[in-house]
Amino acid sequence: MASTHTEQTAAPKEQKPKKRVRVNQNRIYRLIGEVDRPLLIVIIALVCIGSVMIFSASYAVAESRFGDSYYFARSQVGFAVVGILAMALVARILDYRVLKRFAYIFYVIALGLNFLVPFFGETINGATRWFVIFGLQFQPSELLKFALVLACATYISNHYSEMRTLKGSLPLVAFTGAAAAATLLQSHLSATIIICLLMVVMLWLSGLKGFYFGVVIGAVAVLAIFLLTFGRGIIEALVPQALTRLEVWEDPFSFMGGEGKGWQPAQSLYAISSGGFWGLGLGQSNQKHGYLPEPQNDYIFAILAEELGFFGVICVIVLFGVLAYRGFHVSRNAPNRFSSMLAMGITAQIVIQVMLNLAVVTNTLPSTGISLPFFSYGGTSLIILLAEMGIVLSISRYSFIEQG
Amino acid sequence: MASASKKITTSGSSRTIAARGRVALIVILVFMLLLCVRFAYLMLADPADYRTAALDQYTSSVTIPAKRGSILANDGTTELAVSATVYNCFISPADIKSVAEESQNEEDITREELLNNIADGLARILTVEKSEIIEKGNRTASKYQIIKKFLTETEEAAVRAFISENDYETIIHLEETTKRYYRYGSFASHLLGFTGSDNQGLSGLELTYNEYLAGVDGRSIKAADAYGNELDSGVGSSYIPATNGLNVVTTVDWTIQNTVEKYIEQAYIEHMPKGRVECIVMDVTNGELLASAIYPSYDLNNYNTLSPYYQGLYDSYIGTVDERSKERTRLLYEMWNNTIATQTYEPGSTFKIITSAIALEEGKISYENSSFSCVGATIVAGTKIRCHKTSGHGTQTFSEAIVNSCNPAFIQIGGAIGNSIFKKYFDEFGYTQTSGSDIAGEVSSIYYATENTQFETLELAVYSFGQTFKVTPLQHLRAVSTVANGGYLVVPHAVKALVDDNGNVVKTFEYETDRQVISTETCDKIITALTNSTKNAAVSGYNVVSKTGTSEKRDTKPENDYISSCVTFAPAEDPKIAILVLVDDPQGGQHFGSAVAAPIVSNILTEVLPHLGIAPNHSADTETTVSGYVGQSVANAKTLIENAGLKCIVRGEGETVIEQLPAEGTVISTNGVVILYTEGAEISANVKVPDVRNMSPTAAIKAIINSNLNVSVKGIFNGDYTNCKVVSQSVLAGEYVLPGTVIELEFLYDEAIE
Repeated sequence: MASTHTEQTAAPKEQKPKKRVRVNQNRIYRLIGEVDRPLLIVIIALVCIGSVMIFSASYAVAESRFGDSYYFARSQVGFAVVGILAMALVARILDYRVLKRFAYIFYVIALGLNFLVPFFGETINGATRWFVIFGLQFQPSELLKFALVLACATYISNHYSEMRTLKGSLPLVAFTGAAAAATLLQSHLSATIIICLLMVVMLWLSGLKGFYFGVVIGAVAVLAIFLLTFGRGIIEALVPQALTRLEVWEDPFSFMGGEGKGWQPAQSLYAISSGGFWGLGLGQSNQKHGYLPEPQNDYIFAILAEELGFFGVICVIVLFGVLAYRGFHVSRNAPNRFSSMLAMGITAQIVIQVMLNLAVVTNTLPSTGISLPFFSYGGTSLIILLAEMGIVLSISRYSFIEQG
Repeated sequence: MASASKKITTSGSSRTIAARGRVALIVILVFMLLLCVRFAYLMLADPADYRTAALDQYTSSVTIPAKRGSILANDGTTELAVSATVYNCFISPADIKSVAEESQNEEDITREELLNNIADGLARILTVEKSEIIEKGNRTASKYQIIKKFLTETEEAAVRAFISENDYETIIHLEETTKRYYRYGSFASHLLGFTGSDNQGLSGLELTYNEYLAGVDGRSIKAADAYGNELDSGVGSSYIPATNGLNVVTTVDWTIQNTVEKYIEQAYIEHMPKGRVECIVMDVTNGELLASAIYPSYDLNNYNTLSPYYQGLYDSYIGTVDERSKERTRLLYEMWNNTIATQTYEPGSTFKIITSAIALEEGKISYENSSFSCVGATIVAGTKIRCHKTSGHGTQTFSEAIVNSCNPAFIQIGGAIGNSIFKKYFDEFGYTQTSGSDIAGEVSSIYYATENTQFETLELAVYSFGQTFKVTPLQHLRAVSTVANGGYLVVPHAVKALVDDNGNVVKTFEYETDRQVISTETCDKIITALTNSTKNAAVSGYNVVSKTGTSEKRDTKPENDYISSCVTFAPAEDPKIAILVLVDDPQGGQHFGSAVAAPIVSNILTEVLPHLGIAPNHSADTETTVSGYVGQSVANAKTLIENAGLKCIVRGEGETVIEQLPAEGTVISTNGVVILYTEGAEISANVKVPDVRNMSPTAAIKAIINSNLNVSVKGIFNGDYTNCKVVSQSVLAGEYVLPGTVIELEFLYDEAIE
């Protein structure tokens, strides 16, 4: 058991395929060959499908709003190209140890930006969550999620031996709590939820006693069941908006009129159910023609379900499953605790977001503004995502080198 | 180092990152699997049927109205009822709202102003109340508010112009629909019936054959985006074309129906009945109704407007607004009522045909040898029943009894038949059931029978001459027609086939024709007895079989109301058609069937028999056609005219005929007069028409000819001048006319029978 907080290099693994070792010796194929190839393929596949779906989902709304059916698709494909380049660059050049050095500073900056954004940020659709730099919208909460994973990985790898106890975990809880507070101040509930879930995942990876997780999960479950069953009044008294949200979730179809709070989830259900097994065919969605608002954003998966059917849905979910598995695989084979934590943390961040998004799209959870990684429209978010994937790929590369 | 790090990954502790990561991965994969299940539930099972809800949301279904089939006369080409494409105008109040909201920035027009403009325009074009349009336009949730149905072509064009001038394409719409047109207005109105504004048959043949005429509406389902623009993706779009209705070929002969309608209207005006004048002409061999008419009729194209007669009744009705409205509805229903099949009457003496047929068929009387006595009245079961001839008919043979229409004789015949046989035949002649025709709303007859289904003695006695029971005219004509066709009970019907738009026969309607009730011999005996027996119903040149009836309406007692009727088969040698005319309570002084109904039959048959291609079998040769003499020498022309048996009068002193009266081609009587004019002669209307009304034929014709006028005779049967007199002359007495003008005289025999 390693007891120091210095870097530990992973032991070479005999079970590694010989092929990779051989490729490793061939310097020409190094960039492609040395990263985790299944992960790379999955990422590229997801980006491609995502770009196609952005076009398919958005052309009608782009045509009617901007008179240019490529409005969203063009910009998203541009960001995807930039993102892929960033990913390749990070995977090829970045030494993860550099990240560890700047982890805390980076986290403090990200946190600072998030506390500032309610005061200096741009207001879009009634929410103040963006900075606009050189005409580009930038959501600091996106950065914060990554900064948090990075900071946690750093802290945990430095204090691994103390992490088993509640006392040792408290600093981690404290600085993730600060991130949650920052997003809560922005009324950015989805970011708060993701940050809290990330905190749980990081604590779990850090080796905190399972007992505490049992207590927390049990407490949350009991509280949730209690509130849902008997606590309507309590919810109404504390957070009136939450009760409405709950009611909309229970039956979105009765909230389609008026303010239309139930409109989007209801239309999403219509779109998904219309898909059937094989779907209506790529580009054939009816729901995107003004029925499902903003089809290129959070609810893009509903359009995918409508056009590509259950078959397409399963394909994409499997791709995300493979991504999760390869992320875990990279983490397991990572050269040290920091990189192992980082790879798993980034993977968890993406997968949590995917699952929350799919749960919202299917109205399994109440509607919150969670975008679907690689699919939903948003340039900075996509670049950050791909850069993060670059880090995971970079970690996978290092493990290979040191195997050699 | 290597061993230490190996320990990290493999030292079984649940605390290692890899071990914790594996648990995390499994949790993640389990959640993903659950999400897959959720998707499968929504996409494959779709228990709440969101798919249909989504489809309903983005598709709109437009009905493509099927074209209703035409109703054709029996030639298969004359259109009696057709459907034409017309347009309904509707507005979309929801779009008025959205257009006003969209334009608020640029033009600053409010919804109210926009609606006001639209209402102004449409009210002007369509002559609809503006307030009504405003009221409909305020239903802002609706996208479909009908402003006016069935626009005329002018209105349609004006609306289209109004739309394009003001860019109201999304607000005002025209939808295609069909409207029923009846080519000849009131022609066969009661028989044809009409359709409602939704093209559903409401009465008459339109109702009976609605399922064939209506066709099947098509549907066009179009997908549209949330803003109403059509989607070309085609998902959910479909087009089911309408199936047009089939055309109905009736058995109605256009010419015969017109002839019938002409003469029953004339009779109505002449006799001013309290009720109606009805007439049915049926092909006795197969039951086809060649004509079926009722007067007063109504205009099928305006079936909701009371015809003048009923409007008169309505105008004179005194009551509250409510009562008047109810009365109007009642009058409309009465006006539409096809009483030929939906109202019963007492057939009266025309039923003696049936009584005779039963007695002869069952051998209860002998055509040659039976004799019947009449002393003017007879007592049955304590009730005294009079004969119409109060002095009595004395002793009569069967054929004398039926021609005399002697009630005591028929009471004796009925008695000879007996209760049970009479009831059996009453059934077999179809009086106890409806005729099975295709006329809507046919009612059952009303008759009295005891529990053992027999008639009581008194009932039998009065039933024998057609009183105290009620049947529909259609039922009765059907029953008596058995005598005309050799004993077979046919089913009267007005439609024979269905054809498609290309004229191909899709379906023919077959009716039973082989149900023999009485033998041909019996029929022949009755025909022999009744041939030309009613001179007022007789037709010159033809032998016809007639029986008149004058029945008392017992349900309007104590008023002495009568129904005058006449049944005739023609030609007597081999009857093709049967005709029944009845006048419900004539008020013109006459009420005997022989005086009221019989002449109508005669008038109708005089035109109908030649139309049917039935040649007269004896010619009276009482008429001749005037030749042309203009340009000929006077002497020559005079010789020709006199050789033709005509009287010739020459006016002027010239040698050459320059003008003649009557003109070439005029039909005049064989003892007529031709006036020739030469140079210097003056032609003027200087002949005073004499008054010949109530004169005998001989005297009347002589008076006309002596005035240098010509005569044309109506109502004289085979030159028989006995016992008849002039009832009308075509030019009134005292008027001045040109010499040689043809004066038409109408005669009526004074037949002292019911």
